[in-house]
Amino acid sequence: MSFSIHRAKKRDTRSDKLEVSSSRPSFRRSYREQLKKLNNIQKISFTIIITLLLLSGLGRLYDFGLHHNANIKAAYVQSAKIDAALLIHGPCEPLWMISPKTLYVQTGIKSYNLALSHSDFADNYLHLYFYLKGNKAPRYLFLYVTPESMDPKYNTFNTYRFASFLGDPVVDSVVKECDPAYYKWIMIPFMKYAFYNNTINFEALQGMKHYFGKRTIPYYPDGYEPPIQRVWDNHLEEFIHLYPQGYNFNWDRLREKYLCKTIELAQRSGIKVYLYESPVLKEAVPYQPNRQQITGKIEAIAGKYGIKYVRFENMKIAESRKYYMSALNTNMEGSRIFTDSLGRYIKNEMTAGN
Amino acid sequence: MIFNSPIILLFLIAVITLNYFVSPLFRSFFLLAASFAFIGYYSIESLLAVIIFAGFNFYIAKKISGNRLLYITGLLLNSYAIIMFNYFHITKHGVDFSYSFVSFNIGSFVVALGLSFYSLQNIAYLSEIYFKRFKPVKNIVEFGLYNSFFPKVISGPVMLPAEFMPQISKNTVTKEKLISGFNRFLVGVFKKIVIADRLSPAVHSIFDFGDQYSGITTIAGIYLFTIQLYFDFSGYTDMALGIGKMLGYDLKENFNFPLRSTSVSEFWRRWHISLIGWFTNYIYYPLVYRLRSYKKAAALTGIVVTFLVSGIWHGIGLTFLAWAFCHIVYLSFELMSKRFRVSLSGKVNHEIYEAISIFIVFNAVCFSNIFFRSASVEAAFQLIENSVSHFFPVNWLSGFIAPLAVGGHQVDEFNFYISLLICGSCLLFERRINKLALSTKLNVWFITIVTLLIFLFGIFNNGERFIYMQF
Repeated sequence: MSFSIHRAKKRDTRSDKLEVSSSRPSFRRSYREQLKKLNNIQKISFTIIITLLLLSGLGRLYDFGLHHNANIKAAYVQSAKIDAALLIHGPCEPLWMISPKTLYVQTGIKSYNLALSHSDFADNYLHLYFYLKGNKAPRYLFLYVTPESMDPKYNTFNTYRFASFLGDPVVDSVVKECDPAYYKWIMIPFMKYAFYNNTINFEALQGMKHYFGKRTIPYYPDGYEPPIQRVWDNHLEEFIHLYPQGYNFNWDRLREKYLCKTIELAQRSGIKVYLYESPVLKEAVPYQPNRQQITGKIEAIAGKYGIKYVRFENMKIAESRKYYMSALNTNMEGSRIFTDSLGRYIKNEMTAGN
Repeated sequence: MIFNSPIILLFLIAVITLNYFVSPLFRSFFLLAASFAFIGYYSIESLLAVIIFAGFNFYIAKKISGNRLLYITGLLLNSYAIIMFNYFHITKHGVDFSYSFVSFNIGSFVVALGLSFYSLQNIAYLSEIYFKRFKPVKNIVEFGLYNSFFPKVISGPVMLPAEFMPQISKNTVTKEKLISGFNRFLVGVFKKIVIADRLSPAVHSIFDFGDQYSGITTIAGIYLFTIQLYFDFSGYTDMALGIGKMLGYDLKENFNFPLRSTSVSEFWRRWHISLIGWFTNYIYYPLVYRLRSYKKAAALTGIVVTFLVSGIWHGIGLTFLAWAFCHIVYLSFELMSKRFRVSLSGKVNHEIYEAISIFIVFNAVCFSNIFFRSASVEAAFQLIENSVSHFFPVNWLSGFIAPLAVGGHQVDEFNFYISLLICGSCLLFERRINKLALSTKLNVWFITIVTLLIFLFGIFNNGERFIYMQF
């Protein structure tokens, strides 16, 4: 009997509680009720507004993350005072080969490796533009140019690297020209990041981590990245298998245009420009029948701007695979030998008063 | 990629909006014109092919009743079209065949968009009329729409005349249909570009460079291909059914949680339902009926013939025959061991029996899919050999994660884990997602979250074509 009374009392208190709570509905419940009352048109409008707001918010968050990611060269060179006297620029070959520390031993001047893997000249052009925005113009620029650089099959314009810098008219015009498919989408909120989210998600998150961890120095402060793959990669064998009769390089007009624009930008800033080619593994050259012809065209461009095209084709290391990972990329030992030679060349140029 | 490309999205918005306002009297005209525009945008040759085949089958159907010779001619011509489609696909392997032809020639003609799908529909149409189960359609516009209705023209679902034709005259577009169709379409886009396309590089890495990897890495790649194929094709189907619904049509379901099947025969009742339905109706049942006096042998013959035809339909090559052979073996085994399996299921705990069955069926399907995906039978056997040799990698990061993540960088690993997380969650909550996709209510948060996930993790820049577009 007492048990049932107790139960009844308990039920009473519960119903009291319910009454109290129903007279003061929680925010969540009232929100749900309000949402249920909306008609379809209102719901559609609400969905669109909420989605657009969230996308815009995400866009801001990504902007923030990407601008605080110390590992993104485009962001880092604009925010940090590097003020190097010598810039090394181009795709993965200079990135993995030329260590500013090794160069310093020979030249005694501060250098920075601005190169980025898989980058074409439009990519290089924008990175030089960013560097010059945040730093004093260097005295020298060594830009890596080979017949491969002129062929659209090698390297590319990596649009994702510039997504957070859209809005700058220079960046906009280059992106529009080099990646029109992407440019068509970017008026949709967040689409400038969504389009290449496979790369950007990670970089934005890393940027947040850098911000909260107060990290301002990149993993590779002088820009040089030692290669991940340090042994022979068999690309030459695959190349020969694919083109047993050899491969003729193509000459891309857009590449030519941005090579010229990069040289012009540097010269406008008073930088002395050198185009250079690191030693190519000699056994690969017979499979590139028009290599000399394309090199001649590059020399003509250098001549047009009154600059030197320095080629290290006769270096001893070019004769042996033991210094290479692929036909173009030297391994650690090969890179050290080449950087020494490049350093000596630069020193000679400096002493010659150039 | 089709349906989720920007121009096609604009086209869809325009067609769905206009269709809603067009008088029901002119809706079939309007949708036929839209379908022709869709196919014509893809390629003029495809448009010509669909017009010629629709015209041919429309006129032949009128005179086919009781005319065996005409019926066989119709069947042969439609079958020949399918075989030629597959033959030319093989010879043009590796070429983006949809845009590779600029001049009108027989080569381009037979690689027309969706030809092997609407040819099956035409065979069904001629058969239904020949056997007096369906009356010939009088209106060529309606028949044209049956052939070329754009949501289903690329890769089905294969609709029988009795399933599609009555809907043309009764077509209505309601708000519920619009909402339900949109929910379904959105889930389809998610499945395609967030799951299937994200898994694609890992699958490509294992199937095309698999000789370099250890056993467990290869096996993971094989599993991922089956999951990729499922999300790719079911994603396409969701998009097709969603668009169909928004235009007032109920297209046939193609999938019913096939990866949860407890037997291979159940798997085939849940996977590519419309195609298997077609094969069952027009090959398996007629054959088994004719041979019914032979009992089990009749069923076995039916299985062999049906799957051989299915293999040829998918492509003329030893790989597809090997794939078909695997399923013939599985289904024959199931047929022969039915009594034993029933008695075993009574003795073992139901949940355990079901879990083990699902695991076995999934592995069996994955095994057959090695042949389905490989470039040649030799490559498939090489992959099988690799999957059992050097089972564990020496270094898990470089031997397991890096090949599946397609790169050894942190960003590649990050993407791979994200893909696994999304894919695993979707498989786990598949039924709940499906329920939301079929809902006729406008769920604000469901739409918002799916849209955000598409923006955050979808592959926009380098997406794959639908895998089934090649068939």
